[in-house]
Amino acid sequence: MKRLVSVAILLGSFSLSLVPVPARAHAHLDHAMPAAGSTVTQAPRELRIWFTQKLEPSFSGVEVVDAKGQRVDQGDAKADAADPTILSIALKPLPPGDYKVTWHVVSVDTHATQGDFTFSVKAQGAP
Amino acid sequence: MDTALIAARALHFAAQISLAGCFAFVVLVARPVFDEAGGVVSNVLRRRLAIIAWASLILALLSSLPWLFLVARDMSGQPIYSLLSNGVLTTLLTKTRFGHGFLLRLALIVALVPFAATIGKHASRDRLAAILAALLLGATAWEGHAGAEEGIEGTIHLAADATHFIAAGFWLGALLPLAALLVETSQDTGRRGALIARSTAARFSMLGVLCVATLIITGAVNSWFLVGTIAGLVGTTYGQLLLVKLALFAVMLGLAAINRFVLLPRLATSDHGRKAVESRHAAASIARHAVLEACLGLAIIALVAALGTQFPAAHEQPWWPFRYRLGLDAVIADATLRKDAIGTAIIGGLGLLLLVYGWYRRRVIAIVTGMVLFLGLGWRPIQLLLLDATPTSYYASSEPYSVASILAGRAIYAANCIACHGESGQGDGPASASLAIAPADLTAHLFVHTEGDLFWFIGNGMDDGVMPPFRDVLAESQRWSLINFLKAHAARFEVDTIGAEVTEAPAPRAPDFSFTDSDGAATTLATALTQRAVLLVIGEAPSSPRLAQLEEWRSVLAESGVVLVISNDPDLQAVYESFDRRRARDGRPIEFLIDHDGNIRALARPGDTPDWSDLAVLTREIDTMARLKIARRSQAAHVHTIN
Repeated sequence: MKRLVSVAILLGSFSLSLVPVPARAHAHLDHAMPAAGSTVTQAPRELRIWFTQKLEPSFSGVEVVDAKGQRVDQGDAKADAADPTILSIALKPLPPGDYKVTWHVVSVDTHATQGDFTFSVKAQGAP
Repeated sequence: MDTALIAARALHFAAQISLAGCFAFVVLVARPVFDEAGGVVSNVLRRRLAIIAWASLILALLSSLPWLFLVARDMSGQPIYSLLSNGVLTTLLTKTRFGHGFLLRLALIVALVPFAATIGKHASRDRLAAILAALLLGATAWEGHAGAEEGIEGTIHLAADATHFIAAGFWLGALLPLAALLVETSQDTGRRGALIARSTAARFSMLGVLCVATLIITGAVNSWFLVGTIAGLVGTTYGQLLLVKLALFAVMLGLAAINRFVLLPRLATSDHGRKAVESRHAAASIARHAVLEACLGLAIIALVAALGTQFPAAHEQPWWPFRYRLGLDAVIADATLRKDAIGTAIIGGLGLLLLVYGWYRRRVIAIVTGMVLFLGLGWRPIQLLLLDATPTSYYASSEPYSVASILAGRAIYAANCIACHGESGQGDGPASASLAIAPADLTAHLFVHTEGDLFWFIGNGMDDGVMPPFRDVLAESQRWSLINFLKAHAARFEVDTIGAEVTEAPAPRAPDFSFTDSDGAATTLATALTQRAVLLVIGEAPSSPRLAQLEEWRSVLAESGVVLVISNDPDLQAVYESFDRRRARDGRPIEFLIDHDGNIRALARPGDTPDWSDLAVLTREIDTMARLKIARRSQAAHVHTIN
């Protein structure tokens, strides 16, 4: 009987587990430009982060600092008017080096999430 | 868990539900019942309903304040005492969706105040109030998980959630009013009391069935969006809370079924003798059950309030509690097993049909043959689908399948795994000979296991410690990177050698990487693939004639749906070159055709045939690729980790 029940559960799970469902709810980082952990040869003029949910711009922000901890963004973080899942911030001219991005966002379901990642700028032609 | 926030939410939800239930009960049950009995809604009932409605209104208003303050605290990260002076509340109320929804709900609650005073007096006013209360419940869905999604799916989820709230209010909230009316009738020994009790119970039963059906359907939709899989249901906190909720709901349904099928028929219309006494007792029992159901409902509301503050299961790694899982993986990976499964399923199925046929036609031979076939072979396809599971079978990788991750994994492999599993990955490392159990061949049937299984094997070891656990040696992200490397490594052995001609044969997935596009903007392969297929060119010297030629073809290629990606990144070359399995990794230029779904369909070095330096040949291969029927890329991708 016990086995029968577990087979029934498994059969049920089978049908559901076959279909993958994209993760939902609460805003998480989907992807970023420059990408998290990436090395780019052209200094980006702007940082854009795509989240998995619509954001509340009034309570969301992002900061970019260089290896010495100096702010290198223009402090104008804003959500995209057309697509409120995107947060963007303008950057100062970036010399080659490592940069750290720290973000904290609140999605429209009131939940706050935060995180950080790094990216590097490499001089063109350098190994 | 934030108890204060959960308590505030639970009280607010309960108040709203009770409020909506009062008006729904008057409109859909009490008034029609009293109309039928030839009178107006009784004074006793009206007084009791007014008390419930007033209490609900006051509770709704009182509980909304702590909710507002706690949400403001969580969204802004500011302490509660500073919220009155620092403008956060103003920003919250005027600039955010929660704030707008809050003001709307507040307005609806205030608008319902005059209706509470006159509940049961005027049919039209009660109807209007029921609609307002339903709007109040629907608006509450707007602030939850459902309201935050994009597109048509978001709309479906929101509609399902709002309907779920309204159905909950009309059923759960009406339970106390039902008890109030039935208690009143059970004290009435006259014929009219019995009539009213019976009619009330019958009408409420209709309302209940409708609401419960709605709750089940909309609840299933919501769970689909927020939990997604059975692994999410049994293996995450969110899923387990949901299971408790479902269990409580099942008990409520049990009580409702007793009311409907046992007690309702006992409500007699006779006004004398034993039947009348029994009938009054039944009415009192239904009332008691209704109060009990309302208490269970309150517990469910508390769970709902808690669930709303949790990360939904779709975001948590599910812990699989069973030894087995059902999956097509083994059957898909192995053609022999596939034939085995399909063949035995067909014969076993025919056996079952024969058995049923023989049973009805009383043909002994058919019964015996059918039973032999069904019992002899029917278990086989199920056995083939029953796979060994690990607790982390359904864990999803936190590391995207990228060049950087594969290279990190390769370094980890060289440092930790190579001694036993060998450079080739086939289990022939220098230390392998001394082991009691031979190391696994990592190039064969790796894909029968889920990524989560591999994660478990690496973390916890295998074969009673012959393979040691690496839990304390490798961080989780390192284990996932190692798995990415193993996937890339095994893919080369699992697929037939890829050549310059596009074929339908299984193809390895193209690892993601970032690059600078022709406009000088930083982008990734995954982003490029959302637009079109990719021709990836690696290792050409900046001034080579081939590059000049390709640049000239760029617009022609774009017309046939292919974007040109050029890279000289040595990391990229190291990883991609390995997909050219038959030839040395020598850093010579190499080109890849990657289809829209991210599979490497063809590769060519200069001088290969067919010759890609002929535009006609190249576009022919691209056209072939565009026509392939390609299995949809798995979207299971990675779970977003919570930082």
